[in-house]
Amino acid sequence: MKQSQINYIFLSLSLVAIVIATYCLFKIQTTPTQNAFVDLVYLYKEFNYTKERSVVFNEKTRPLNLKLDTINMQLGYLMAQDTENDLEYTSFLVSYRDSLNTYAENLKAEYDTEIWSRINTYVQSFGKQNNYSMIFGGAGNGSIMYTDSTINITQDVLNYMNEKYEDK
Amino acid sequence: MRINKYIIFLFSIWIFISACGPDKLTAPEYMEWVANPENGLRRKQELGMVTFIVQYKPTDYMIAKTILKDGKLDENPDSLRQKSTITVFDIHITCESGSIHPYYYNNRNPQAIEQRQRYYHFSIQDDIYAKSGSQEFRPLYCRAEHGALMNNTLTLECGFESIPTSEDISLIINDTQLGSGIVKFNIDKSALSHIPTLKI
Repeated sequence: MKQSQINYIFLSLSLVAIVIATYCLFKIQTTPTQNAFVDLVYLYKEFNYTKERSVVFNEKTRPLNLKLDTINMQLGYLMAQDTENDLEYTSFLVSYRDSLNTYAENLKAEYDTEIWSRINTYVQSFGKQNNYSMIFGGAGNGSIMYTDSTINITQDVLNYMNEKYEDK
Repeated sequence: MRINKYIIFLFSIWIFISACGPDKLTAPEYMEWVANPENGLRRKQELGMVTFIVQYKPTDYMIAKTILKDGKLDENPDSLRQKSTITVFDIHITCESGSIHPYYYNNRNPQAIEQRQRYYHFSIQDDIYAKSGSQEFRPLYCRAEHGALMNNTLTLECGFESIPTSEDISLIINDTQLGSGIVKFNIDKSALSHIPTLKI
């Protein structure tokens, strides 16, 4: 075999090796391998959607809170009087107060479900777009005790969520 | 020779001027341009299994549509443009990539289906508004397109009192039926200022 033929084969093999190496490198880079952490409490508080929904929630519950304040005042007055005649009225007020509280709690839960569903949707799409294999959510309840600040992507995720929500 | 140079100079000036002026597109080209998401008048938001597409429809879009439908315009286009005092959006809603109509998405109960139909035909207007700068606009009308059951897309047309285009326009939908919550669509003022003119 001539030297030029050997050189040719060698060169071809080198080229094939370079192509395979480039492909592998590309594959490694595009395969999700990163893990990251987000502070869910911060995300929830600073998300524009939460802020807007809170305004609506407060407006909706303002008359309810006024009613609750009145009931509590009346109950306080009745308790101070300590008369047995008012027992029936007191129990009525207590049950009315409880039903109002339950209504407010249910309403809050409804709003929260809506907000968390939106946060989940946006965090998922952020993870997919940025090739994260896993994003941990810390809620300050001790489930995640420590994370390195380099993997804390809370601010990036918050910016992404707000931009997505505002359609900017 | 001198005349040739003069002609070339004038031709160059003409090309330069026509490149600077607003584009003029034929009716089909215009429709295509407006529907192209890259031009910023068509915005999409995907929320889980629910997809919303909002299409801003400039006045010339309506004229182009009439031309394509009827083959001609009965009225002078300029007077039509002057008379047009409303801003119109189309809203397309699909669920599960179009495999199910929004009326039936997570909804099997006939009464609930009827209630949802009523909502999209009569009540959704209360849950839609537009914003431009600090001004808020409520829809003058909102109508669900009939016969849209075919492609599992719910299409609504919403008309507003003319919204200024000097600022970004936001369309906000608070759909209460599909669990999507508030969805916002932003039509950028730069997109609004680059809308081409319809060639008639």
